[in-house]
Amino acid sequence: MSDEVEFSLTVDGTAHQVTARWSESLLTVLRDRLGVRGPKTGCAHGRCGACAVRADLGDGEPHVLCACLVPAATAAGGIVDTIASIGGPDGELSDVQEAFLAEGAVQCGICTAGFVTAATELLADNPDPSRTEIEQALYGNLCRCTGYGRIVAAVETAARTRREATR
Amino acid sequence: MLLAAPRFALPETVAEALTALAERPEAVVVAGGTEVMPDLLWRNRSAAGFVSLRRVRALRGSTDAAGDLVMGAGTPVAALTSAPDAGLRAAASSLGTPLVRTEATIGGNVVSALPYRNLLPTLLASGATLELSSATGVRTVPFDGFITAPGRTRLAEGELLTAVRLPRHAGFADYTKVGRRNAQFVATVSAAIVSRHGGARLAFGNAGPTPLRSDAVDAVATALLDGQAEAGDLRAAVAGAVDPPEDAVASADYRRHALGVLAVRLVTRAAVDAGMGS
Amino acid sequence: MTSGVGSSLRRPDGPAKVRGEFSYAGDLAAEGMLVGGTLRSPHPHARITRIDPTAARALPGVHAVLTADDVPGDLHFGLTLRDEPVLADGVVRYAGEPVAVVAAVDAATARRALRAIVVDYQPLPALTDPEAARDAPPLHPDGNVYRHVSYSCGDPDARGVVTVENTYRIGMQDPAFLAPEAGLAWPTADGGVALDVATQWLHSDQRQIGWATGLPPEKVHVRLAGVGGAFGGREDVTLQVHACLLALATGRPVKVEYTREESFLAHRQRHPGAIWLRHSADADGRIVSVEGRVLLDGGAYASTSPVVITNTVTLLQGPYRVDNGRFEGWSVRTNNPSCGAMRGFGVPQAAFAHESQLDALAAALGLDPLEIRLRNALQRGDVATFGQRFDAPTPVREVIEGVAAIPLPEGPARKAPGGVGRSAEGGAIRRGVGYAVTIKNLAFSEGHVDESTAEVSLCDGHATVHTACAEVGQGFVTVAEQVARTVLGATTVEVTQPDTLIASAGSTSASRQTMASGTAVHRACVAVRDRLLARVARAHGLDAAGLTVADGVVCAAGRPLTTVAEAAPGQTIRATEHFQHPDTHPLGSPEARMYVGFGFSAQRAVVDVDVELGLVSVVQIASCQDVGTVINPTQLLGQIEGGIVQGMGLALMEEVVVADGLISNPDFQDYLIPTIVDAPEIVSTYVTDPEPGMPHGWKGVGEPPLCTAVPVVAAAVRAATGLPLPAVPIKPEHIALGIGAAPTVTWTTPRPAAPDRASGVVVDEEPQDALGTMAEEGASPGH
Repeated sequence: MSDEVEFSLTVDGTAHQVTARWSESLLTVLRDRLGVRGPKTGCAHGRCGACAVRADLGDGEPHVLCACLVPAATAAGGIVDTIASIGGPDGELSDVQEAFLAEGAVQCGICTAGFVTAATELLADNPDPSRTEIEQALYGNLCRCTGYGRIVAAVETAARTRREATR
Repeated sequence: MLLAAPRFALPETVAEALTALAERPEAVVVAGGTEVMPDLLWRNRSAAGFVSLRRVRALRGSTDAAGDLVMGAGTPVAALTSAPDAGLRAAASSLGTPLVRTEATIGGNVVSALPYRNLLPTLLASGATLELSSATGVRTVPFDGFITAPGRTRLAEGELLTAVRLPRHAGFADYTKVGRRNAQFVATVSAAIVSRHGGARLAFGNAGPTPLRSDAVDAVATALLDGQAEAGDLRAAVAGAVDPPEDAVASADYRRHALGVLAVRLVTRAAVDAGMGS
Repeated sequence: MTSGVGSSLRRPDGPAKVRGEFSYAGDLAAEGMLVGGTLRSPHPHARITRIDPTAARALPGVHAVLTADDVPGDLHFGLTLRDEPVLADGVVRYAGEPVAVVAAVDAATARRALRAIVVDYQPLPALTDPEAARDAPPLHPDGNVYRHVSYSCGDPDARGVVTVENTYRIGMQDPAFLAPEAGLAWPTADGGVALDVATQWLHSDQRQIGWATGLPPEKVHVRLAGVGGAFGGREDVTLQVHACLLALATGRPVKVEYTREESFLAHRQRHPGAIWLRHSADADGRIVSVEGRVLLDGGAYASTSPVVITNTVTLLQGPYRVDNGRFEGWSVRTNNPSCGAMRGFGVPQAAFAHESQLDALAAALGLDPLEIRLRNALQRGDVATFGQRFDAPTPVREVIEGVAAIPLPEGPARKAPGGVGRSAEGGAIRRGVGYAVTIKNLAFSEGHVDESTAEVSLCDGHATVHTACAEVGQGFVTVAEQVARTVLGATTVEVTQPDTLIASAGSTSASRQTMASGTAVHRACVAVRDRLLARVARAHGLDAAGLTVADGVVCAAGRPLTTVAEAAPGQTIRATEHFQHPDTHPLGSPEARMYVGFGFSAQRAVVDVDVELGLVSVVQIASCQDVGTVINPTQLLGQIEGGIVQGMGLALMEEVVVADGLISNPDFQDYLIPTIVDAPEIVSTYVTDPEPGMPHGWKGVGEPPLCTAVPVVAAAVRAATGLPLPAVPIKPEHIALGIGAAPTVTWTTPRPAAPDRASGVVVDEEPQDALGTMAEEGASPGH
């Protein structure tokens, strides 16, 4: 079909051959074509961060991004890691995931995958973030239920846990 | 060319990109997609194909060239948050969100050509120039005047914006914007300053249909920096020079007022930076 | 006990949510599934002269195109008045109103089908000014007034030494839950239909689907899919009937999922309103009389507008003793978007008005804002303006004193107004401190039956809990588990999927579910426990009355006998219990009991304001709330913080902008909810005075924090700026340009209440016929 593009994409360690419409977003490809439903559709215009994933799209360093804003075909050959790649292979929770549970940072949970993704990236870059740095890294993720207090506490707890573990 | 389809191309060079565009006249250039994708969703534009610049390596990265900071048009805004220019750093750091900045590009910001886009006042105040490439060669134009109306530029048919050049200077530069909340907001209004050799150049966002600067405003700003004018003089000069929109976000009166306030504050910061007191 | 009532037990659905494995309605899929789409009116008011679905039906891959003519049962639905058509019937009354629905093989084909439907509209003048609604020609056979409430008490013309009055305006807030509407319907073998949907009220959906399809309730199977937030916005039907009609018409599963823009158009928003309020007080600040008039714009269809206006009008008195007053209000029909339930349900609007008035009185009299509130604070035994006695703990003084005791923030503020825009540097920042105290009614009112049912079973220490209570993120599933662990001593607990196989739990709204479904679960657990203890007693030759369960152990006269898990090996014990609050009655009834109960909340806000630019940073909000008992400290804090930030949003930044009936900001670029940068430090304390008649003394907690946060933020900004700010959301230009009229302050000769005026409530209102699902569930008309 003249509207379609074929390309390869590796998602959470699995290689896929994708056929998608030229304008389809990476989020639509992940959820509707590949059945990868960890990243969520909150707004589809890059304001809520519920679709945040980490990706290496062949254009530089791997980074976090909103999957709803990436035309999927531009990610051809890329490597995408969703929330499913966070945590251990046997379902063990990462320290960030564990902290979100311990601190009550999850209510409806629709924002949680995006927050965990962004928070995991923050702690990889900055193991001892101040509260301000946490906010600066996470203001692309909206939450409507929690008012953010427990989310900030969770990131601080995860950072502290990680620092203590590596001592 | 990494991928080619009737309605999609993933070129690896500028030349391939230009060819791909020529072959797909109804396709739209997409860099990060952070503006194009919402535009399609909201039906602000229609398109019949994409030519993606993501894999054109030559468009990414910054270099120093003869006193200019030369940034490939496909350079992500996140990379500019550590640029050697303070005004650019400030403008890049408050663009969108941390998730958007990794994909949004300086070229996309320029070509969207909307008066509230984050990087544009800094480019205007700095006297930036733009490299436009086509099959027939490269031309350089000043950023000032490149945007002719909201969403309209002087980019010709068959041309791609390939680099943005910012004159380097010793001096003070800054950017500030106001909105309806404290993070992740489109500028209600914004302002940039470049100050060197005792002079001040200001540029404004959402102060009119295109990014705006004024020699008259700069004269008063320089005088204020020099202690030869009052803050009220600069506010009045700004109010006279701008023609901001009235909409549901803010009134034109508020915008006019806020632009004047931002202008004075930026000049104050320049003065403090130059050791001229607060 | 580390996992029972009182502990911060982790929510049972948490691990799936942090893994991204929890299934939300948007994640649903089925073999052979079709995709649904909705054609919506672009006009706020128009006649439909022609709908031609022929071309759409002929498109390859299109399995159904339905219009009003294709609705097999009753065309009209609604929560109070059944005034809203499933699909537009010759007229559209709001921009976004559904006109037709389609089912197709994929989303792109569905969109193509929608574009192919031919609709001829004849635009009509749109009634967009609620002030004009009462006198305008009726937009609907049911008229333009959803409810007119009017009553007085004591002598409304009594006066003190000072009178303040103003008109307060509240903008339209959107619930803005982050998961757009979604559901999956499929036809069932019994000739019925099943629906998995993110909703607040399974049985209300079931009933309204039944009306439209003509199916009896036992053939309409509704199950709760994962819900990504609700806040009132999922209480009304949006896609439920459409999805079921499409499934029945095509014989296939049909998924309907809205875009964010469609979500804004389709669900109900909070009523915008104008409230005129006049308070008169004596020299000590004691309120002598209150008069108020409220106008709420209910938009095109009734939804819950008749109930919302009643809340706003009756709670205009605030948490204060008011002996003399006159209160009146209207919710009206216009061609603006239809408004309905949102967390607070009419009370945030009232709270903004009455707290603004209290501060105006304090300022006029030179009194401390806390002192004037303490002097007027309601106490247990007082009588409300609407005649009801406060016969349960009424800790208004206590929450005020509690919040005053919380330390103010120390040191320089970490965050500046203007945030990431870095505008504040070089400007002057002024700090302001404000207070607010509110009363919120809890649970359903005016005769609407507030009930729930729970089935609990226990086998070998594993308990299952089944209710129809919609978990929307608030943590009911955790409370249910905590109750089972505490009462039953269960080792593991599974809260099963809510569905319509069990009796109604009512809606997840009105801060009611812990009291209703929590109590039903408690009762069912008690019944199972008692049966277990009876068996153990028989087995050991003991008197059952001497047996107890504590920490998972069956004890006889305090001595451990056996674990609950081992007490009756292999035996399943099951019980189903119902709970229903004592009856409530309409305003003006001799029983004088409109409401089940009340919650009280006091907050203090500290804000920094860049006055030149009109930008605000909320530094700290301190809260002291009357919660009955703390069931789960971490979850409770999450509810308080979440409600406060939503209220702050209405105070500072949230407004659905409607111009000529059209929403101009149906997206998250231009409808702004608070980000993590906007969120203040929150300090939360509690008054725990057990609610009578409730297990563990619990009471509802979800709405009061929002109700109080709206006025408290406004109060603090007023303190910082000296401006009256009579409208929310406060815009930067209101501050920077000093926009907004100050209250009128009049010094009067005191005129005490005439002694021969009747005490008690004098009601003056027209009764309404309420035909919607709330009426069918037992409410009397005009609730």
